[in-house]
Amino acid sequence: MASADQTVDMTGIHCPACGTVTAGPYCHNCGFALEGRSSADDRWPQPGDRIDGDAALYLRGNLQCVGPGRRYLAEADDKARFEVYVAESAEVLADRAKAVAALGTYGLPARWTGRYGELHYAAVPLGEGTPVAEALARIIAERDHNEARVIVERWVLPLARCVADLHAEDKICGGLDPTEVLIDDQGRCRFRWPPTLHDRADTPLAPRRRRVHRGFSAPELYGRCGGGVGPRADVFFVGVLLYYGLARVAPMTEAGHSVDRLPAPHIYHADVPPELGAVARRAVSPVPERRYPDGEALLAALETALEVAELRRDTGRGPIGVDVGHELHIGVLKGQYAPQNQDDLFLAYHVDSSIGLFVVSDGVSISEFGSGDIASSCVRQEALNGWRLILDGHLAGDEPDDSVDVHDETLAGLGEPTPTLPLDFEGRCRFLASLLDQANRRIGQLVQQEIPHFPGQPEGIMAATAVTALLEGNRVTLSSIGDSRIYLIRDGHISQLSIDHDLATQLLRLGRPPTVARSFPAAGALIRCVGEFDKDPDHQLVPVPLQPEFLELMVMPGDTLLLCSDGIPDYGGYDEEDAEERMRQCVESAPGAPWAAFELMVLANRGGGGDNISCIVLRFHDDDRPRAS
Amino acid sequence: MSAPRTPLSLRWRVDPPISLVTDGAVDVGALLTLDRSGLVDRQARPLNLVVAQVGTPRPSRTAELKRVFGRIREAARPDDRLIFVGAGGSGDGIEACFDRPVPTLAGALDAGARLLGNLRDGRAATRLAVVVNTAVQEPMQPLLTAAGALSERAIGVELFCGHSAADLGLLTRLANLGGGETRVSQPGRSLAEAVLDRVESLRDQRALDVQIELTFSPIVQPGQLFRVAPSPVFLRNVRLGDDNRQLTIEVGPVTARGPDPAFLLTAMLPKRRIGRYRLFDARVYSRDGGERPVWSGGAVQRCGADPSEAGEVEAEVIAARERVEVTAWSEEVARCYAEGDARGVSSTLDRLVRHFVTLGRKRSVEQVSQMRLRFLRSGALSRADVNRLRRMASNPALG
Repeated sequence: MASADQTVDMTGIHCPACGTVTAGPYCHNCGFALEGRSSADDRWPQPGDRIDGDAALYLRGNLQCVGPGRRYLAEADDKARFEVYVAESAEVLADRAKAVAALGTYGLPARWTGRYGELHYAAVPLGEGTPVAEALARIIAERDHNEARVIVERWVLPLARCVADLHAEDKICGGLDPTEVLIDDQGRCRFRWPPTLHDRADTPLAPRRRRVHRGFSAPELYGRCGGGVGPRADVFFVGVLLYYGLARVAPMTEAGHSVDRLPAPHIYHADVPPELGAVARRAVSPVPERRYPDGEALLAALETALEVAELRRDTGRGPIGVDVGHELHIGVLKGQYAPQNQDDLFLAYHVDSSIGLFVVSDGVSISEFGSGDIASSCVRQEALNGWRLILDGHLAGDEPDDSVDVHDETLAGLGEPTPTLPLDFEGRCRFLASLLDQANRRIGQLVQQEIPHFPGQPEGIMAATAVTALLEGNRVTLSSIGDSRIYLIRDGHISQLSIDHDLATQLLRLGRPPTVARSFPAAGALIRCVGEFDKDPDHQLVPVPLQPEFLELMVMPGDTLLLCSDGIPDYGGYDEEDAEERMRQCVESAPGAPWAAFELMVLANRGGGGDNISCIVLRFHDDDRPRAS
Repeated sequence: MSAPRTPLSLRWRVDPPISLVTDGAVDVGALLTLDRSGLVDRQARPLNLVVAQVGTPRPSRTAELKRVFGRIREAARPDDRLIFVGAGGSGDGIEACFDRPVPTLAGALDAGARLLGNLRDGRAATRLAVVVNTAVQEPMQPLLTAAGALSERAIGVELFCGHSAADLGLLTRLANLGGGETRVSQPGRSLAEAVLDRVESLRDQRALDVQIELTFSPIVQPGQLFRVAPSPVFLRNVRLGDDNRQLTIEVGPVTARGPDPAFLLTAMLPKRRIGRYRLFDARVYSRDGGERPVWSGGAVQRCGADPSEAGEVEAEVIAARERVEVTAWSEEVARCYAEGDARGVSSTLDRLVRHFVTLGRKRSVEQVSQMRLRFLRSGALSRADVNRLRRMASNPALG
């Protein structure tokens, strides 16, 4: 490189940044400083130049080069795309060829090598592959046009297979670049620029100066989490691609942070099969130990999740057995300073019709008018009223229900009212919404009875969260308002189905970065709950129509649904991720739903019990009831 | 003809190595490592060591300490000078040191200052080692003043804490003033063994009174200073005035063994234009070099506009920073507790738990979360708990 005081010929040279022929100290096109450009630089080809070899290649632009030398995008006469790598010595090209060979079928070998003046070059055919970074940009741009499963199969699975293959050969990449990974229409994965492969036996690799790809690189590549890099860094890369593909969001720099994990993908996009969401979240855990140990384990989990998601999608309505357990506890620490349990439960199940209603409600502990326990009991009361409507058959739909099995007919034959539910999803949502609206009105009436002319702000009125599950056979309609949780546990994974209605989550959904949303003042404040009112000029409370969120799911044998207040995830582990993992272990290791519920209560108390604890566990299994004939 | 070899030099890594002009203020970490490769051929320096005890240790420990002090005395070289202090400050034998321990730490510092002042010798390393067997319920300021005065006279203070309720934070501050260390017993390593380890290091010194002097440009605002190696310690918050942009780091004993002494400095840089920026000028001084620095140089950081360049990180600096910041948080817990800030204690303990989780330190995670739980239930946190936190923070081997 020439020093600044060397004489440099500035007349009519190619700008190395944009390829324009320019003069003067700065490129007139892109503003790149040309000072210090030496005659040695002129040895290198420039965009627009032609390189002759087995075919004539026209250099179209520069590519970022991580090794010694320069890279160019080139095109042959037949429009075939090439990448040209130019280096000062043949050894450098040989090193690259060695790295490509180590990748086996995942490498892109040079078609030919040659000389360019005193330099050496390799011409690499690029084929039809698309860089995953480009594919991701397309997925995000078309966020509502692609099904999650299709995205995963098209873009993530090939990469997962590639990483699994490399790990099976005890090779790890230790950091991948999304612009260098190509995936073609046949689902083949290729590395445009070969990553340096390391022997697995040499891991963890020590922290050093390295290039990271913000939003794609694991925290340990930055030096975080101890800085030791191993196969889990590759798992993270595949996982983060899966995550962005499911959430259809642009890469987040928070992906490399070591403390807070990425938000659940379903808060960004409704079409996220819970199984795939759970795999993504585990693969992108900021704590390396919590991720899948290697690419093979990730691939196995991903394939299982895809199978289950497909099975769940194709499952028709039918009978299923359910084992129910529940617990309600004040919380050992919470009970020391707040003797009233503000959580409440409702659970009812009609065995013959396989219809059930399950509600968990968590009263908000800080309120100026009323108290959380009264608010949650209002939810329970209204759940009871709703259940009576179901039992009395007042919720019958207009169309015959194909799913009604022989048990319903038997019941009908006895002349008793048949428990019924609306047939369509919207009808069931309306039912659940009305149940919550009734609870809201009841809260308003209780306050108004005590304070006919309400003086304060409606935000100070007692309130409660509510998560509900309306079950009919294997069809479950879920609703949630507030920050109580619904989880689905299956195949060693746990995924949250509900969306927390707190300020932080709302900001995330509005596109704020996770670090901003989580550090926002009062980030944990509820923005939706049962207990929302306006005040009219006469100081009368006017209930606001509530906006719970709904979801319908076909459950399968082996599924467990967990409805719980936040006392369990908040105190069940060292952090939310750890708590969820422990919750999963409790549920999966328990011999039955009641044991699981008890273990969950113990788990939260062992972790401090700083909040009231309530949970309902629904474990589904094959319907083994004798059928009436 | 090659240039004469520098006995000591400084190497550094700065993260981020290149910042972007589009970034606002940049949080920078600089890892400074003292390179001792030029010292390998040097002879170890003689040691002038004064040993004092404050308070009486448990009988079981007394026997072991006596044995260790006996070994230290036997291993002394002809030009080493070793004095055991009994109450009254006179130089005496090991028996006097145990039979008449100095009642206060201030008294031990005072006795050490008098004895070592008489022993000063340009060739020898001069250290005062104090075994502390009390909770040190003494006013802080006089102790800091006394330790500062010793440091100015190039007398390092080494403290060995044998009381679980002693204020380890204060002891660490006192020792750090002169580049010394505070050591405690560790699992599998008794306090007497810690004394022995440290004295062996002191006896192996190849350069004396080594200091690193950093001079910052006005745009750089230093934040916190940590020692990274040999063991992580939070040294201090750095506040520089407009008229004094210098920071002096007392390196402590520079031996031929063990890891190179390393320090981490955090700093904030304002938004800047494209260019190369000097972060600091560094000079390394040692008593052998007299008034002139034995080495000097400067650290530079580039500010660029190309986002692809800004993708580079110095993972080693980030990893070191993650390791040492825990020590600052353990001090934060102590501060919050002293100020009655229960929320601060709880949230900092929670932060420590999560940090240990990311570092994969399972035992520390378990212990700190239990401590947090106890604090939430009872509101109590003992000085021994805070000391335990400090030990965990500064000893990654504790798991």
